[in-house]
Amino acid sequence: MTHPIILARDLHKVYRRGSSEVRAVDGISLTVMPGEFLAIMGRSGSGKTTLLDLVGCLLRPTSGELVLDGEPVSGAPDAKLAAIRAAKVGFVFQEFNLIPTLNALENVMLPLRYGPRRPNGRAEAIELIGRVGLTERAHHRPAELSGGEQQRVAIARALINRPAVILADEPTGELDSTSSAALLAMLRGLNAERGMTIIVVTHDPGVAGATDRVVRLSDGRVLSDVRRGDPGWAAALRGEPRVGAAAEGSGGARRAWARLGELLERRRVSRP
Amino acid sequence: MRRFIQDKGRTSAPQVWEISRKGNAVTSMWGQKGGAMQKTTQTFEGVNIGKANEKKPADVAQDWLERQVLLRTRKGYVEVNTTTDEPLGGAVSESEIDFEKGLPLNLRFFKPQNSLNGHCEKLLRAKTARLLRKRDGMMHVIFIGDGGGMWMYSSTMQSSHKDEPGIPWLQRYPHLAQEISNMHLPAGTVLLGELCTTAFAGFKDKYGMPVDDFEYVSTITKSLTPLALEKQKERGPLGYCIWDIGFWEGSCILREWTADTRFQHLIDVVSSPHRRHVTVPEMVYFSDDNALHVTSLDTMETFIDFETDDLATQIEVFIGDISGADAVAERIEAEVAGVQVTTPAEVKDQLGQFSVVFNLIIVGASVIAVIVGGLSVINTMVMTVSERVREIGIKKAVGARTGAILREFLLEATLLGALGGLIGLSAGSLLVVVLNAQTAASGTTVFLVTPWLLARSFIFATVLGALAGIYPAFRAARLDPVQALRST
Repeated sequence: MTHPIILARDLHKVYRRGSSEVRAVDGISLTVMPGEFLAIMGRSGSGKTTLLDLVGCLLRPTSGELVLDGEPVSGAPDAKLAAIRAAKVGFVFQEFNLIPTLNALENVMLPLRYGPRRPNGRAEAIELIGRVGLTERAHHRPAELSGGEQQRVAIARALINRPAVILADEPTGELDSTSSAALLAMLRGLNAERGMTIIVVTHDPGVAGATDRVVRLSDGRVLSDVRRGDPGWAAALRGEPRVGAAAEGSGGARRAWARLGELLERRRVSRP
Repeated sequence: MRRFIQDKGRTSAPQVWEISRKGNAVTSMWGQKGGAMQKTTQTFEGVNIGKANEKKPADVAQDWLERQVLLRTRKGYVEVNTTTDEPLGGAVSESEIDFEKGLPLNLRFFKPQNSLNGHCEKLLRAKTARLLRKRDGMMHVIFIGDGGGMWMYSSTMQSSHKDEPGIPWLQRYPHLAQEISNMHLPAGTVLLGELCTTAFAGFKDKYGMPVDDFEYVSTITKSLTPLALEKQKERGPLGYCIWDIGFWEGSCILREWTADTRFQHLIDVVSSPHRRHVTVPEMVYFSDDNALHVTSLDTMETFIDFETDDLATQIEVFIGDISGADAVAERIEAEVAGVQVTTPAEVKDQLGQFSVVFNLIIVGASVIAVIVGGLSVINTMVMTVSERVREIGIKKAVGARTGAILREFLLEATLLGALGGLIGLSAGSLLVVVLNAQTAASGTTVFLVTPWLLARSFIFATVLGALAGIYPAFRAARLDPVQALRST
């Protein structure tokens, strides 16, 4: 039986700015199963990027629990977080975030430096570069690549360590419509062919429409959680809240927590 | 000057012909030997064909005389005898010189550099070995005769003789004569006189002698240089050279010098602050062909056999085993007179004292260089970190641990230090080569580059880079990944 890739319960992230508190994530519970293609939507300041950072182990939650591919994240030390990032998470950013002094191939290989040892990492990187269609451009630096090409390099980089989940933060934000479509097709393909779990943060309904599930946030809370084919799907894409969705979502979370409890129990037993 | 010329006489009695000159008059007498003589006298006028070629009447007469002798000898006459009014030819014995009657010899004085040489040559060929010198208008000739007798002439002496004909010069300075005779000089020795006001005072102190009408006193010395000693061995007494040197403060009057002390003395004199009391040392030297040379130290390079390089002022002793240097120095100090020994340790001490200051300066400069270098690395790395915040964020996002980032930046700073060290070493080595080439001409190379020095400098630069990189590396490693990623 499969276990969830992401299991979040009552996550909080509170920033203190002087005397005031900013509740960027204010009690979010979320379950993502393997092979899901999920969009997180919301207005600016709704907490979607913070949620992504939390899920991606870039931030430690103020409170709440988070389990990533079976690894409990909340309360883990920095080194453990880094190890989880290296092994289980692939990031794709809006601004591509390639290292300007390295060429495409080297950028793809960058995570190999910090992740688990991979004897034929270079060959895998070359293969990935080919899969995103950049074999000809492998030795070009980011500045010599178009935005779409850069983002494809970023996707190859995200895949190199065979992550459990790809987290994409507004991946099409800097791209023209053609490139956006191509990128979305690529993500779609990844999800469909390889069963890659993908979470996309976006406020573009077009992007969200390419996914199978849309989680809408507002003020750090889950406003709705709708799957393709659900009655509220179109409304969720447009940004119209649907009352029943939250209940369904929280119901899913409850089931998932029960599942996690079993898992942890089994692990405790199996350990000598 | 009279010259006698005789024909071999193909007939009965030989013909004689006598020619003599007195002033500008030349008298010729001829006839059969033992018979009556015919006599003619001819007088000559001076010839003036430009100032440089001016000839005095006597010279013209002499030239004519010489020409006549030449003509006669070509006609078969043989020169049989020559008598002169001047003692240029033939041996002069003590008995012939009567100082009581003043100076019988018609001494002529020459400036040393010109006619003295030629004139002295004549004297020397005649084995009378007189020497004439002129300085400040004073002329002295001292001659040690075969029997150990001594003559001294001077131009002022001559005039004083005229004033006081009864008193021989040497009798007026018996102490001087005594000193000279105490020298046990070999026959043929030439002494040079020197006048020196300061010597006068010392003279008086030493001998309590009243000094007569002229305020100068003659001081006399002789000295043999090592070269002169060798030449004397080779060619006898005439072949040595004589140093003539001024005396000062009366302390050195009439001392017989050894070669070593003489040399030391010469150096003392030349370098003495009292040099104004001292006449420029002059050297008189008989070269191989018996020619007499007079020169001063300043012009000694023009001197035939003797170069100033031969004047050793310092002897460097090279020892095979340097550890025995002090022992050798002690021996030299003990056994060689007139030398002052500087041991390697003393040289080292002197150099050491000099070096302390020099080293302090170098160390000071180095410390500044280290501080500046270290701060440069820190600054560069801090700049690098702030320029690459985003890159650090990316690396953290893809899983780089704090330690990995720290390591990367430390490594970068270390490499920066190492690279800087290499560049600095190359530039420094090049500079050393250039500077050493500049000073190589003087035989000294100022700077030394050793492999160990290169290694140390390189290691030092690398370590400095690493140390200076610690702070920036920490700054980089401790960046919050989210902030780093979202930074612009």
